[in-house]
Formats: sequence, C-alpha cells, structure tokens
Amino acid sequence: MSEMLIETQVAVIGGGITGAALIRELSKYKVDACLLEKEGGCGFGVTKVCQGLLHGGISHLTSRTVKYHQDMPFKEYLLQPFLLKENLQNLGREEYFSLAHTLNEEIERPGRLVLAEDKEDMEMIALIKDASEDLGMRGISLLDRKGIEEMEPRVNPGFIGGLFDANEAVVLPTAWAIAFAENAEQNGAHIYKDTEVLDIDEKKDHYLIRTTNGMFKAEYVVNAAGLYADDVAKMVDAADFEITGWKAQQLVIENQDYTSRVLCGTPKPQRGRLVIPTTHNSLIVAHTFHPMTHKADRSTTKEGVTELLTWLHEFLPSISDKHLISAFSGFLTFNTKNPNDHLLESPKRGFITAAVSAPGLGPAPALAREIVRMLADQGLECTTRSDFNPYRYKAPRIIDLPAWEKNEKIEAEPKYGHMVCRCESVSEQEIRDAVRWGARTLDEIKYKTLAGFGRCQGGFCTSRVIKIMAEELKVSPLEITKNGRGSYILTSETKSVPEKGPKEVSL
Amino acid sequence: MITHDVDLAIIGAGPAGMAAAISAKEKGLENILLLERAEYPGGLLHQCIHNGFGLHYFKEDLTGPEYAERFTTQLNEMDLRLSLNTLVTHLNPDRSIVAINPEWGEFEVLPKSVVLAMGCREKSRFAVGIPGSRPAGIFTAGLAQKLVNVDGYMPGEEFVILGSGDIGMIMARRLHLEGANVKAVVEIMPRVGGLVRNEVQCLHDFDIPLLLEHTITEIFGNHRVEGVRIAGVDKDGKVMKETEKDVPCDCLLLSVGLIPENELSIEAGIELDERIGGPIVDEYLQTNIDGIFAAGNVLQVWDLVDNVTLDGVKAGTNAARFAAGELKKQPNEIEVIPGENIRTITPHKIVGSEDVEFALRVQNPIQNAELRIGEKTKKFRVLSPTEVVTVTIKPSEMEACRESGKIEVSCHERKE
Repeated sequence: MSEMLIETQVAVIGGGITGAALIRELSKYKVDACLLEKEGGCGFGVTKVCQGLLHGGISHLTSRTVKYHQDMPFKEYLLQPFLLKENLQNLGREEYFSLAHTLNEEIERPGRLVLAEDKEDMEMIALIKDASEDLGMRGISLLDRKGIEEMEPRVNPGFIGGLFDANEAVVLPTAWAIAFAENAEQNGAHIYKDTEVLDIDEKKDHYLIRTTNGMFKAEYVVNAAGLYADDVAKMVDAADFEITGWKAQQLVIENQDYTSRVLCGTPKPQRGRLVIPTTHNSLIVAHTFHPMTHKADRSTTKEGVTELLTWLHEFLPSISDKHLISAFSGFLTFNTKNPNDHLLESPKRGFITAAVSAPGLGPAPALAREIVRMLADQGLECTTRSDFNPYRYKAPRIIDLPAWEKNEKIEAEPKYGHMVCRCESVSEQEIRDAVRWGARTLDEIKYKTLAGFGRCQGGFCTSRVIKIMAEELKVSPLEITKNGRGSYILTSETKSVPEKGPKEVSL
Repeated sequence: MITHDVDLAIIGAGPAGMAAAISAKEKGLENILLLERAEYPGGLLHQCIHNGFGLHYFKEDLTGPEYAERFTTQLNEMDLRLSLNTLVTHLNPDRSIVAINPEWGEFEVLPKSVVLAMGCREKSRFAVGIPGSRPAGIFTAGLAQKLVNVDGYMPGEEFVILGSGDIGMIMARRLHLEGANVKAVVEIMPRVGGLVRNEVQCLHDFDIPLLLEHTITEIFGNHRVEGVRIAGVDKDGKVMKETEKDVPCDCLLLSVGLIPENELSIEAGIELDERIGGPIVDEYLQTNIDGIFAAGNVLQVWDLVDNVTLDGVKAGTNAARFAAGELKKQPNEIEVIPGENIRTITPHKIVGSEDVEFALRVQNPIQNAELRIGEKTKKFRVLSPTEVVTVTIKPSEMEACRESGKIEVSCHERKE
C-alpha cells in the first residue's frame, strides 16, 4: 500500500501546551514545521485535565516546602538556585500576559491565598514570606484572620491567617493550546490532528515517522508527547526514562461568588489541596493523589469525589454539593530520569526530547524558545519571517460585549443574537465562526466557545451544536465526533437500524 | 437598546408559560410578552411524541406535540406576543429583564409583573457522581429523546439506562421500537423513579429488563462507551461488590432526576426552597418579590403536564389580579410546616383568605394513608414519593391556624 509521504523540516510530536507553544514559536521562522497530534484537537491530553494555574511568585517555594526533608536549614533549602522548570516558569508565566493580547485568549490574575490552620502553619508561611523577600518578589503579604475575612468572607473562619500572593494567574489550558496551534497554522505551520505516531525510523540525515495518518519525513523531530514521551523516545531507542506520576482527581463546581482567589492550605507533604476559580465562573477543586496505574486511565472514583468535597467544605463551608458540575482526573507527571525537573535533551542528532515534569503549563512559552535554540544549535536555519502575524483572530464572546457593540454585531449578523448554549450564553454564529476557524470536534467547540461548558454539561445545546457543525462542514451529523476518531456521537439515522434476532435479556 | 414596557412578562413559553399568558389575557391583561429561548413554543412537549398528555386537563389522550398545539393555537388566536429564540440573561429585583434575540439584539423589558416558567433541566452524570472515564456516548435521556424524535438520529445501538425517571422509561420503549437493544434500566431504589403506568407500559410490555436496587459503578471506554459495570446495592444503598457485572454497551442514558432552572430567580434575589430547588411561594404562586410569580417545573418538578398547565393558569390569573390590585394579603401569614413523612410541599406560606391548593410528595411509600393538614384529614389508599398529590383546603378549615401562624402537614398510616 503506498502511503502519503509528507516532507518537513521539523516534526513536533504532541499538541499539548508544550507542542502547541513550540509550533507557534517555530512559525515565527522560515522553517517548514508540522505538528502531529493523536487526539481530535490540540490540548486534549494532560493539558485538558491540568488545573490551569500558571503558578505565581511563591508557588515554587510552596512546592519545595512539600518536598523538604530537613537535611539542610529550611530557608537555605528554599533559596537554592532555580531548577530549569522554575526558571522557564518565571519567564513563561509573564509571557502569557502579553500573549493574551496577541492570541486573544483569556487570562486572569486572581492571586493565591495560602491559608494557615494553626500556629505551626503561621510560622511556616512567615518563613516562606521571608524567603520571597530575599528573592525580591513583590505582591506577597501576610494576613491575619481579619485580612482573610476582608478578602474572602466565605472562607472557613477556622483559618487563623494566611499568605497572599498577588502574582498567581489562571488560564483555560486547552483553549490556549488551541490558540497557539491556530496562530501557528495562520503563519504557515501544518497541524495534523487524529495523527498518532506509530513508529520512527532513524535514517542517515532524516527521520521517517509512520502515523495513523500517513508517513512524515523530517530532518528534526521534537518529542513533546507529554504522558507518552517515553513511548516516543523508545521508537528511536532513546528511552532511558519513563513517564509516571500521580493521578489527580478534580472537581468542577459552579462558582456562586464563593471565592475569587485561588485558595490552598499551608504546604504539607502529599497534599495538593487547591480551590481554583477558573476564567469561566466555576471552581476547580484539586486534587487527590493516586498512583498512576496506566496512562489512559482518566476515571474518577466515588471515594475521590467524596474526599474532594470534604476538603472543599473545609475551605468553604457554605458551598452546596448541588453545584457540582463535573469530575475528572488529571495527571501530575514526572520523568524518572530527572523527577524534579523537566527533561530537555537531545539523545540523537536532530531528535529532542522535552519531557516535562509538572507543572508544564507556565513554562511552555519559554520552553518553546529554548527548544528552538537547541534546534538552531543543531543546524536548523532559523531566519525570522518578516510576515509573521502574532495576532490570532478569535470571535469575541458576544455576551461579554457592551450592549451597543452586541447590537451592532447582531444587526450585521442576526445569528449572533441566537443563543444556542443557555448556560454560557453562546450564540449560533460564534459556533459557526469557531468551525470556520478550524474546530472540527464537539470538544474543540466547547473549548473555543464555551458551549457545553456550563451546568447542564451540554444537555440542551449538544443537538443544536451538532446540527450547526454539520451544516458548516457540509457533512452528515453522523460524522461529527466528540474528540476525533472513535468518539462518534450518533450511530445512524432513525428507521435504519437493522433487524436483529431475539434480544438477549440475560443479566 | 430597545425597551418594552409591558404589564406581564413571562419567561418561558412551555406549558406553564403558555397557560399563564392565556389566563392573564382572559383576566383582562392586555400587554403581555412571552420570552422563549427555543425556536418554537411548547418547551419539551415537542420531543415527547408519546401519548398520555391531557388525560386530566382535556380528558383526552394526546401526544406531546398535540397537547402543545392546543395552546399555541390559542396564543395565535388571542394575538399574544411571543418572542422566540430569546434568551433572558438577567432578571433584577425590580423585575426588569435583560434578554437577547436575533431580531432585537440585546433589549430590556420593564414589566409590572413577571411569571417565571423556565422549567427544569436534567441532572448530568456528575450531579449524581458516577465515576469512570469520559468517553462519547453518555447522554441524558432528554437529549437522546431530542436526537431521536426531533433530529432523527440514533445515539447508539446497545443501551443501558441509569435511573428510571419517566423520560428514561419512555426512551427505553422508544429506542426498543427503533430497533435498538435496551439491555437494562438500572434503578438504585427499590421502586421506579417515574410513574407506575410508565413502568408497565414502557418496560414490562416490551420485556425490557428493569434492575431495581442496582446501580452503575463504572463506565468503560476511551473514545466511546464500551460498557458499564452494574452492581446490586444493599438496603442502605451501599454497593455489593460481589454482585458486580460488566455489561457491554455503546451508549449510556441517564434519567436520574430533574432540577428546576432557577439561575435567574437566584440573581433576582428570590428565595428558594433548598429541598425542591424552586422558589418559596404563597398560595398565589407569588415569590418573595411582589409581582414575580412562579409556575410549573421551575417551581417543582411535576409528574404530569396537566399539573404544569394548572400552575400556569393560577400564576397567570394571579398576575392579572396583582395588576388590578386584587391580590389581598391578610395581616397574619400562615407558615406551612412539612411534618412526618412529607418530603416536599407547596405553597410554603398562606397570605390570603381564599381556597388553598397544596401539592405534596411523601417521603416514603405508605398504604392506608391519612393526610393531616391542620385540622383537616384526608384518606388515601396509597401514597408514593414518585407521585405528587394535590389537596384543596377551604379558608374556614384554617381558621385555627391563623392565630398560631402555622399549619402542619403530615402523613400517617390509618389505624382502623
């Protein structure tokens, strides 16, 4: 069987936040690059189920605290030099704010409130505050009980104080991965979705990549396969590491003014308790720690949900379980070779592995630049493109516009006034726009427009969205999927189900 | 921005909203505006192509679309203003409304009174916390009903249905008739969640297996549902691990309950009954905000559309009386106290001196029941939590309660 062969200079494997940021970075140069993503859209692997925190000033101090083993004085321990991922995170995090303008994607800076239960906790956060001062951080302040009450009146009165970090920011990670990829595409990069890499053949001066969607011939390969980075490295015999980690169950709760800031407890080992207000009016409650059994396991358990609800009540006693919207499992991954840090290496000429250790979201833009630098070092000619357009078109959310602007838009195109998703107020035309700008799956529509994100979880709008997508794409509704191959939604037209023999009723 | 000054704005043109509009007009209100988010009036009746509607209200056996048509025809004849494709985005405590539609863009409605008739929505799997993966192929029963009956597409071939609410049982029959294999309807309680007549006519008549005291403990499949794990539960609702069994299927439907849609009510500052999820109302169906009434499933989830219509009639009539200054309140309110074996009851308080119609659900099924409402008692052969009972009390029967300011409602077994 002769397969399609696509030649490219750089093939990026994996369209998570790292791969997506990288393909956009590459599109700034006169480089022929393509992205190979196994899912139906970008950002639907680990990126989708991460918490969306960019991790503010003190976050690396709090995560170091969790791993403290008393083998050196605490403060000295905290003030050790930055790891690669922490360095990239400090650079990348602030970059998101300027990217928010060019990529037209949402970002918020709610700040993070570290809550203290007792005196011991108060001492701990005072030490962290102290270390942050030594590092010259700004926007960090210690609060007493009254300070917390003024900031977040619905927080459990049992907390006696806290540390506030104004730097903490949140994004909707999948929406950002989509944004990076779309802007890259606008600038000439190629995004291949539903394209799973099966094996890689190392040739003298190039790599042959066999996928579920044809063959690719690339001079350079970047392995940004996230959870599967070890499997991809294995394909070129360069896997002296494994990707493993924790399965982290999380909840989504409707945020009825419960908190507008990220809440977390004083850091203690094996405790990742966080309440995170998202950019779209919900709270993420994170997360449980369960050893990862296998990589495809995104299941949640009853025990996990109960545990998270219990914590949530510890932070915010007035919250009602009725506002639970969804539960999901994410992963806190790390590579076994360098468990505390990113693994960024080139085991072979022309092959780079970027196996991130959590968190990967904040560092992504800076990591992308670092990878391009490595590629250039290996001989990739990186000439800046004069026609690079950093601006990504995204139709505005109609509901967020002022009335006059809404009405101007609706007058020009009445479909902007036809609200299809009731919970998030998304119009018919916004869905059409999203399809015209590349969305092909229900999940992509969800992350681009927020249709189906709300409290009814698509109960009302799914059938409408399918119909609109099919119309725009000029295909049968039967061809619309949730997230690419295998995730079909409808099976047949009614009145066409074949006659079957007698039905089995044994159970 | 366009502003509409109206006597009555009705949010939702389903059975409750349509009945309210017609009744208000009959009572003499002229300037009425119905705001409906869908592209047609009638709400969910459109997708309910089965029969059984109107047995009480019309004394006829109608299908959902037929039942809706009776009212839409009347709306047209009475020249009632209906704004379709219109989503109400805000309701303020002063009763002002902000809405959006393709024709008027974002606009404002300044009504003298409001009837809330937003209906209810289905609980999603997360509202009941079913663990497992998140593949395609999980639908609420109502969404599946829309896909099959309105859009003409099958959402799967082999089904398991979790929950035995009415829509779930009706969909089991529907899918069976469409040639699909409905492997089981799984219900955690020892009885079905919907009406007994649906259990008989939708499940038993078609040999669709009903597994009472069972639940789903896991969903399998990465891209699409590949199966579910079904397990029996003991008397306390705890899963009995040893009874777990994996059943292959490509589609899971959920019929696990309905929630009144009160996001707008909450925004306006309307107090809700936490148990029912609907507004706290008096016997006029008026909420804690004067001039805002609630009717139908937004108030409480009814079993029959006939009751929803009656609610609408009541709210519409009273909205018109409110405009005419006829809604009289007595100086002493009577608080309605749900007592023994009463799960939910409306109204929550009695403010006037007219007949009061109570609607209640019992907590546990009971035979030879005696319902006590203040001084009055009423006998029932059987009462079940799955069916709402209505009882009307005359003002003379509540005289004693007016002094204490309380009326207790309870349900007991008759000792004879």
